[in-house]
Amino acid sequence: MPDYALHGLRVRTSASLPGVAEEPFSGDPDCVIHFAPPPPALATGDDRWFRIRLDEAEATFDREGKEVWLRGDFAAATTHLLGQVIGFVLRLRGTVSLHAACVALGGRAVAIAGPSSAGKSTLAAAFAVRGDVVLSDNITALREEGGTFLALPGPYRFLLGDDAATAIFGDAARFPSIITTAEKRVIAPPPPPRSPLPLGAVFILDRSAEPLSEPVVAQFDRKEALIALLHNSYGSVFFTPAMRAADLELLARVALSVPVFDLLLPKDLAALPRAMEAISLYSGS
Amino acid sequence: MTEPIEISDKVVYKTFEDEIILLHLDSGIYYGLDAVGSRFWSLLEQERDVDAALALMADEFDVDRHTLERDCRELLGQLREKGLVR
Repeated sequence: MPDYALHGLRVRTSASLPGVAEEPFSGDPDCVIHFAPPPPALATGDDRWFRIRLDEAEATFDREGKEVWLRGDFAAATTHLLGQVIGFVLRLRGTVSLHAACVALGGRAVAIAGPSSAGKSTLAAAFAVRGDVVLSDNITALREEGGTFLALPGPYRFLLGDDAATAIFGDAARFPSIITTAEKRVIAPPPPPRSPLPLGAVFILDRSAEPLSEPVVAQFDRKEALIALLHNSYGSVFFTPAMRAADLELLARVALSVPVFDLLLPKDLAALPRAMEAISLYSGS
Repeated sequence: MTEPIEISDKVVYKTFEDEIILLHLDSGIYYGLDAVGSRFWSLLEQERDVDAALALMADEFDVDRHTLERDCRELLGQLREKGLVR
């Protein structure tokens, strides 16, 4: 069974994940993923197991996030695995994650958060092409360690719409496509060496109601920052009340320890370099 | 006269920088209260009675009682409407 390093977890899967580099490890995995229906003994209504319905797939989790059964269409299941499923596994194991891309700038991790299609991957890919190390393009898992938060590397791939893929990589058509919330190109270059980095700043991507020619950045006060982080907590739609309460505590500590910025992004991809400059400048790197 | 009130069991909240952040578990929506609203929330929780909370607010804040009561009742209306108290 292939091994992967996903957001700080050693994950073993029953089938290869297309477009994700294998990273074999010795010893036991943190989590095993079965692309199979759950054993019949896992009766519904048993509170040792969580079951989540996803588009064209269903995931069953043990309570400690050590084992997952994914049934349904394989392409859909792998997409969900690298999204909601791994997000929920992280949460079950006590790790909070943001719906955010993450790039290493000046030795620190800078998270770029926002809803689907806000431009996270596009910015992450543009940073990667510029030569920066990208930790993740969609989920930023944060491990609390000695009063700081470490951002953990996720799968090294970028899901981009055709316009962004063409603008950044020259030609979208040479990359395979998958359907997530929209049809996206999967760009999976060989991963550079990566390690967990202390979180230095968070940017929350926002679209202006008015047309913008330049990106606009403003720092949230701490309360606004906490609410913005909570709204960008990954997968929270599936969380139990206890998980949400734990998120509130944890993200409150994040909001106190790093600056959180609102970043209004122009629609025009030509403004990407200026958005990257703004991120570098405000994150102090 | 008393007006009993209870914080909904669908609410998780936390004091953060002296202000309160509320989460309604069913809707998943977060709300932030300002300093005065946060104090009113704490007193509602402590007293479980609107009139008792309003009387304590009037003791603590040096503002016109009529204005204070109007503002607090407006907030209370919003809290009720969003299912945060009952």
